[in-house]
Amino acid sequence: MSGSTGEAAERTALEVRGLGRQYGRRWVLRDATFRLPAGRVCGLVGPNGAGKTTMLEIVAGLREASAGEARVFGEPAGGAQARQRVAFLPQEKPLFARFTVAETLRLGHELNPRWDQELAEGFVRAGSVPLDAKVGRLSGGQRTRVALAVALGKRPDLVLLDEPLADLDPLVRRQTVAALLGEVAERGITVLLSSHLVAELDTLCDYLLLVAEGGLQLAGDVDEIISVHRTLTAPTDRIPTGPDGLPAGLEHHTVVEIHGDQRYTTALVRPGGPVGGVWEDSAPTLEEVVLAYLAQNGSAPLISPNSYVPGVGSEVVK
Amino acid sequence: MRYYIERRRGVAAYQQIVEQTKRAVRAGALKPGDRLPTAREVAETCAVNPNTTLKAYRELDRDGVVELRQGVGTFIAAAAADRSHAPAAESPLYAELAEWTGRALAAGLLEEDVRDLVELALQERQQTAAGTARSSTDKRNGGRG
Amino acid sequence: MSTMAQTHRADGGSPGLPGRRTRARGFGPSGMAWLVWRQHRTAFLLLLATAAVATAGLAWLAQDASSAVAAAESAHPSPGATATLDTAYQRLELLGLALAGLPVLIGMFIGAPLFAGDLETGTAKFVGVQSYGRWNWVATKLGMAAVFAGAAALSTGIAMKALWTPLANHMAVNADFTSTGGFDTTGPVAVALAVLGLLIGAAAGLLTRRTLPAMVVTLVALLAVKTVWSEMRMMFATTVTKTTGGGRFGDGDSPKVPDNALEVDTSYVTGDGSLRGWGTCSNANDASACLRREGVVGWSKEYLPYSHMDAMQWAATGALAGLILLTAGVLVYAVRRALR
Repeated sequence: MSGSTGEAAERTALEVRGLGRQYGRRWVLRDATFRLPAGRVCGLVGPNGAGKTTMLEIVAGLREASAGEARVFGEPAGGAQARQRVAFLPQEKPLFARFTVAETLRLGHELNPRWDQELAEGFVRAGSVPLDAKVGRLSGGQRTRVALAVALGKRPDLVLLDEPLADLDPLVRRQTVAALLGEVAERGITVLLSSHLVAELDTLCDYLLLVAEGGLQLAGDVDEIISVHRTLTAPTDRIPTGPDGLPAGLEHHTVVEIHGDQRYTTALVRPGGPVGGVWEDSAPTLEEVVLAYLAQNGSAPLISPNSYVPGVGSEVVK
Repeated sequence: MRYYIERRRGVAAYQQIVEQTKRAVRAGALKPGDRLPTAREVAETCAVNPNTTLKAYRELDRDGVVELRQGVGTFIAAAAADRSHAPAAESPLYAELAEWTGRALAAGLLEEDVRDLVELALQERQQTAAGTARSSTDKRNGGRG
Repeated sequence: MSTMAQTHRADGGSPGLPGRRTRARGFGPSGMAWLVWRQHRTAFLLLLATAAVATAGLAWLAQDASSAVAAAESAHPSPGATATLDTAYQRLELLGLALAGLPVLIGMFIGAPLFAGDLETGTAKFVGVQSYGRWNWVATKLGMAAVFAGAAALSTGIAMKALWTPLANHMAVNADFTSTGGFDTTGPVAVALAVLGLLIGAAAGLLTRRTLPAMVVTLVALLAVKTVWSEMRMMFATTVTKTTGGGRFGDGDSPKVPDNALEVDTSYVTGDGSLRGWGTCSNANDASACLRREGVVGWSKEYLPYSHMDAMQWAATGALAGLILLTAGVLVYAVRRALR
């Protein structure tokens, strides 16, 4: 049970504790624990098979957890209360191909007591999708827009998007992101979206969750995450070896990941002191940070206090 | 006044909004009382996270450049007028820069290179001022120029 | 990648309109029922149209059969009247067999695609994430499909019964009202079988998650059920037994059964009430002496009067209801398995 109550629970959009799911004897999601503050646009990244889709489906109420629990604004995921406050857009964006766009919106209206027809219709019209067109004949971008319209028309407080941009061309991707973020600005919706397109996450997301084999590796504000990391580069042949056999000059830092060839060696670190010696120092992009954490072995997780669930799992590293 | 949000190395989107707004005020393109686009408008035109825009506006508010009026919008503060120089475009500095830019492009540099060089010069300036006294060269520019 | 946003001048600005709930209601179903009707209306309407045509055709033939029976029963029937009656009877058997296929059609074309279609295209997920729970969806789908399937079976069953009754009353011995064609196509049994077919189809769809395999599985399963059911049917019959005694067991002494009754068994009865097969002593030189030695004192005849058919159908329906509940249990398991 969640220890948080009342106002505190309201400020947390999603709390996941020890969440796991197994199919047969195989665990596809194991011991996921984090907290997502309300009002954020959160990117969920991780390698294939880390159970991102399964986790979103559990939160959306489509699947049951085999272990642990997920709470949406304090309510158990999948329950009648949570179901009304969560919208989920599966990766394949399933819609009834034989319905017209108008009928698809009618479905949203018939199946959701909080439905906002004006919003949904406006969202569809803004993408110049004809209301009388059959869904089966729409382009990928138009389909995504209609599916998003149904999700947003539900007037959810938490929107879950599974790889929403994966199959869209860059222009449509941008339009879709812009339209989604417009609604986020208007309504203060919390968004949790999984994506492979790490490069696109930095203007889209202000929060990041990175899950990998060993559990949650990185969680917190995007700006914060970037600001506590530095990329250090040096010509490989000029790096002296330190007393412990590692490259010298990195002793004071937490090295997240280091790689290099005969010419250059690059390390992503959380600095613990001044940077010096042969190392050149620059600010990393979000993509570099994410890739470094995906490549590392799980030895240096960074969990920001606002995503930390007290009493569960690893310590706060901040 | 337009925001150009670029996915550039090491410059967060909110910093870009802050910088560009300040620049527009300095150049006189934005005047006291002008309303900045809402977070929604920036989101819909630039695909930028509204929290990023709001963060930038809060920082501009702290710096006294804008005034956040609850439920109304974000406006260029009256005090910001003091920060605006005489229209920058008329200054001799601009003429010099324009002339230099022309030369750079004629020498075959790309627009991107020009921007990088200006950025680099500013960065070195900042680092000297901060006293970290370590010349730092963006490694991307190492082989170019 | 660079993007832009236009600033607003001090006097400009357009505040966003607050969202408003609009409920434009027309006639017809609402909520989940709207979705189920919209999605399956073609199948439902086709079923109803087929049932309506069949009902009308059977009603017309029933009129025909009634007049044929009347003509055959008149004081001086013409030779043609008997022939007409024979045709009517042969047609009855064919129609009965055809109509017995209705539950299979319902299972294959309404039951099997009911959920398999949504699982195949992913729309089960789409519906599953709306505000109502999945059980609401499952129950509405099954409920509406069952109503249409039941209505189709009920109306064709009434018409079939109307066609059957005059012929059964006239030619009792030939018209086996416990056969597939007569028993399974009329009254509550027809409705129960239609619902069972629907549920088996739906369960197959949930288990296979694909429409085409589900249809095949449904066909096979329903044919198996029908075969077993044909063997079980007589279990629900309450028969009447007539015996003769006093040593009257000659061929002419066999007891008479009512015209429209169905003979189930004929045997000899001994003095102590036990039965001897009809073939007893059939190879003996002196059958009568042989039978006397066996202690046979008369005939025993077991038969099923036509008037017992209703009770038998209700008893059978009770058993089918049990089977329906069993299938519903499988279905609940299949829903949990498919959607969790």
